[in-house]
Amino acid sequence: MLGASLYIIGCSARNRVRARLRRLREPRYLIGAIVGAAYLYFSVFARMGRRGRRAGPRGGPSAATLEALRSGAPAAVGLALLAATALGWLLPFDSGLLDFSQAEVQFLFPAPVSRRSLLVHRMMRSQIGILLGSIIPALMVQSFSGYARLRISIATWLILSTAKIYATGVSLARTRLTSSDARARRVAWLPLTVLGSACAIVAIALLRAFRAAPPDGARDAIVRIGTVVSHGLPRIVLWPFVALAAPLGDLFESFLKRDLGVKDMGRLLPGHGGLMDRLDSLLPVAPVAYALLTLFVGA
Amino acid sequence: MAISVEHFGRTYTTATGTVPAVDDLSFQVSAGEIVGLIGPNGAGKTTTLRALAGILRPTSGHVRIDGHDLVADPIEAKRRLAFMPDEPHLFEYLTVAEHLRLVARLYAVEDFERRSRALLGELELTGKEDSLPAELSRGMRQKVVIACGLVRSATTLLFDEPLTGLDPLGIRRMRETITSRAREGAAILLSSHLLHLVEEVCTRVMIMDRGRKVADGTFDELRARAELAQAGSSLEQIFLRVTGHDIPSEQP
Repeated sequence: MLGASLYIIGCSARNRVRARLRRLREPRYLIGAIVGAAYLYFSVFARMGRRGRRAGPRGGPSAATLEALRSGAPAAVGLALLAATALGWLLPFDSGLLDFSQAEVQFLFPAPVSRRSLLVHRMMRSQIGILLGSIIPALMVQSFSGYARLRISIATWLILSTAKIYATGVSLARTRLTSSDARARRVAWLPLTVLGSACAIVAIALLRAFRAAPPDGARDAIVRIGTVVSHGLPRIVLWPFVALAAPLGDLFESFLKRDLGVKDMGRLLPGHGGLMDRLDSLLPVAPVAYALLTLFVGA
Repeated sequence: MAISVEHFGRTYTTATGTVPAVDDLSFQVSAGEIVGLIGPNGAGKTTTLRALAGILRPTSGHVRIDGHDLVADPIEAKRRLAFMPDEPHLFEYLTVAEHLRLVARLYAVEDFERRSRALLGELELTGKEDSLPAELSRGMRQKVVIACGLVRSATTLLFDEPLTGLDPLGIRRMRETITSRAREGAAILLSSHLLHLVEEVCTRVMIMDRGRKVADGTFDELRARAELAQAGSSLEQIFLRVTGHDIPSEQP
């Protein structure tokens, strides 16, 4: 099925490009293409060359708050991702990953392929859109190197892919929760139980930390959250979420650079200093994505 | 038995509740047999064919293809069947030849190039190999779907309105294609509103109405049934009588 899936995606992409290029023989399409290319060049690529022009500091957070962010940001983002993951079960949304085209239904559903293969095919097809979506933020942010843009692209792609897999898993599990098959219901409860337990562990740890003494301002709250979720059981529970959030460091860094006019950000986020560190941060996302795929689709 | 359907049922969930599309349907089709599936709109013909093709999951009952249960053993069951739907939905950016190659990949078709060439000739698609679906007429798209179904050696063929959109020559060729596949040993289930086609090519007919089977047998068997004996000798007259739509002739 993998070969057939790649065949559909590859041939369709090639024929689509050919059809678009053939259309350029018509003046209206040719003019549209020239205008579009000029817009893309002046709005994106021309800006990339303006390396020397940097805005000065615009105020922004104090050094103490930055220090707090430095220690607590990755964990706090991980915590926010956990909350978003939990909310995913409560809010009605559709990942679109289970929407098959009429041609796919007609050709692939009656074919001797497993349901899992069909989902993998659909996921591979959705990658084209996700890849394009990943390139856009990399082109838009102000950065100093092509490597940084590549890293942001890869990070965005990994995060969007993982989010798509997760959203599909939630849709499938929701359907299974109402199934008449008792085994299917039990399987669907598994991820919900795991997520519920994770939320409970983190919530109890945070409650203990804040019940003893109320936080002394936002900075203290961030530091305390960072301390709580970076130790013991909450740290283990939040690891996948922190791993997922880690590649966002580049994007975060880019925004801070822009806002504060700081050039050397190598030491702003601990553990996220250099190129190799940033690439390393992408690696843990792969097992997280695979685990989600196995947990939901493989069940 | 090539196709074996036992107490098959399929319901759809709508905003107003559960609607049964097919209820307690049982029948069998042997190798070499061509069974015509007829019935008024909404009788459940397409639902039955789509369930047999593995597109819809039965709500109840069992569907077996060459002894392989479509739910318990779907890969082996699907390997043996080919479904030709009434609406030719093709991949927008795959050419005719690429559609056939895709099928060859999905089903591991041996001797694909020779089969493909012969079939394109048989269905008058030679010269259209590099055309995209948008460049083809509806009838030609229908032929591509049929070519994709026939390019492999399926033991069970499911046709849903196979003649829709075909020209007279195409219709004649299609009739020949269907009967020749049955002679080669395929079990064929064919749904159509064209009763003369069913009468001409089918060895048996099954009539459905409101999700249930209301008649099943050879033409002679149906004509011999007591309540149908007076309906008339044509399939159309029998069909109208069975489904309760025949208009009694006015007495002077």
